[in-house]
Amino acid sequence: MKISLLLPTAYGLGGGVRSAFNLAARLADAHEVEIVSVERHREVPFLPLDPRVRLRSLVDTRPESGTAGPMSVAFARLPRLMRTDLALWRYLRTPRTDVLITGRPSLSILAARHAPRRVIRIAREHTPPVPERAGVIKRLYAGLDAVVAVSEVDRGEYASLLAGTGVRIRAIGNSLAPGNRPRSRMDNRIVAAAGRFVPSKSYDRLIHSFAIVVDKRPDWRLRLYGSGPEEKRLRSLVYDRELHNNVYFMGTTADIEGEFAKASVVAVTSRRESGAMSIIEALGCGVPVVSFAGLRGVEEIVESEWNGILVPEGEDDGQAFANALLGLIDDDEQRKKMGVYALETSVRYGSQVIGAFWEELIGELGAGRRS
Amino acid sequence: MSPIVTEAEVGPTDVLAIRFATADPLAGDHELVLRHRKAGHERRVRAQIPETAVPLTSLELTPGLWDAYLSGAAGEIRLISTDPGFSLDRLDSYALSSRTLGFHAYRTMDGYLALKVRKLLAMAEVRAVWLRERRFEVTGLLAYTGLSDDGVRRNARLIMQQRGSVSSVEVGATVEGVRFHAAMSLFGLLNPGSWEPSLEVDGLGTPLRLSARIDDVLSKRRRLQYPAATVDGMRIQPYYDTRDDLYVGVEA
Repeated sequence: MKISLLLPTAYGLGGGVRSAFNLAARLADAHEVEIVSVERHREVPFLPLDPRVRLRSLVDTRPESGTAGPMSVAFARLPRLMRTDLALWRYLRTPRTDVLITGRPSLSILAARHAPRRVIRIAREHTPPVPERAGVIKRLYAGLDAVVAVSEVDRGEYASLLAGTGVRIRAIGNSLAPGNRPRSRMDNRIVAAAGRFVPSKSYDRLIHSFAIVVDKRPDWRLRLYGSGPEEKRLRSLVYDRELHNNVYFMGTTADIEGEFAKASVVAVTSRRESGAMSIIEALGCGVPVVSFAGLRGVEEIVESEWNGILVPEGEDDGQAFANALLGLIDDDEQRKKMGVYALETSVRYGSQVIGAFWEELIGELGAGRRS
Repeated sequence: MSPIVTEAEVGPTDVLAIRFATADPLAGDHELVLRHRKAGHERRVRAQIPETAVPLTSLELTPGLWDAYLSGAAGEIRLISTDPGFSLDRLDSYALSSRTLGFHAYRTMDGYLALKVRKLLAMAEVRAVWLRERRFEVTGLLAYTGLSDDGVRRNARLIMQQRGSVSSVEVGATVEGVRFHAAMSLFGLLNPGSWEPSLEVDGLGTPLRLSARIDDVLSKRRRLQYPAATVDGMRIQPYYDTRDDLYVGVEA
């Protein structure tokens, strides 16, 4: 069977791309798999891709991308959005695949409208249905074969929205990369955090909390992995709180698991999480996670006081978050115990386990087509 | 299943200790092969499974990156590692000995065991820098000097040498064991340019350059930026260069 994963871009390094690459690598054990990137802005992907998985793009946005022939020249002159829409429409009309897995709601809607019905169309959703778009989703997702949410709570919302449409709704978490992953020794005085420097990740909350930690444990360091529009503001905040000796802006990395394995705690202060990929990867390295309670999907992965700590959000949550970090920092035994439980939890997100759920779903949908 | 490395670390006596995990016992003799990534030359030593200890000094390894392989009757495999290869405290312990060549086991970004070999000079490893109360203040530990972390006080001086000039400024510093602390008034540094800080410790030959290289954070110029201070209209800001040597920059 040929399986295609359609992504807005395969050339980024966010959790969505990491989880898609991991899933593609697992599915390539038994299928012909390709990743179709709507846009391409780099020569090669930032993240490593299994060599068995083919990668192609629909629109090359690199300034140096060549054009051959009069049609290509005319196409290249179109406004970027129009080029993308046109290329997507052309691709979806004849996708030359058996299974199309779309990685964003806008792509799922286009797949539902334009992809031929012989193709099994699955929407892979990292976010819950947005209330303002509930009507559109209800109407257009009815043309899909299945919706796969990353958490049970999201699955429930899609199930009630699409009740009676016949669309299969499943909850399948994100997958860890196949193969061996690094394991933390849990003895470095390092807290790590990873993600784009955008307001929703709330790194400012983390820096304020870490100031409280440093006041009591000045030999601990916070390593922030990522980049983004908030970086300048966050660096200023680090200066203001006199944390320049304790907070390192580590930049982006294609090996976040290798970096998590150098840490003893991973902190997640987001106001919302969409696939919780960083959390799963931290647990996979045997590192406990400190995060906030009530985050969608996170409570299905992190069990407070077991494989991490979930801090209730409230008026003084910065102090509470710092207290949770200090609790783990000061209790080596508890931290190491949680690291072991973190590894146990991560088994649920192993590529074989997650891959088997996908195989089952694709098999069911394929059988439905044949009967 | 091929064996994977679950622990790999170079100890203070320059012995590479490796622990392997294998699903099935491995038959026959095995060799650990270290291959220089650029030059391609290799060293072979007998390896015991599941644990082996390889004295590195006798292998005459040249500076650079060496990839690790395991060779046996079934052929040669590149060694996958699940161990980051170090603990920060142990890196500090490793830096206590006097050395001219350093060995560091690590996991590559694609998950394999490798060994970094580099020439070393005795240095003053910076752990914290402040510009406060109109002073440049720095603390850290002496590395590769052979001094013990015994708390013994030694006379020392922080020397600021202006780059491209004969100007220098000196102030007394505190050294206890291998820990150091120094503070210098910023008023002595108000000439535009870059100042190179070093630490002169009684009993050690040459002054120790202030750098930051043994905490696993490379390229500090990008990752660790210090705030600036303004004194008498001059902007003063410590920074690292591409080799992670510390400077104090002064601009009008």
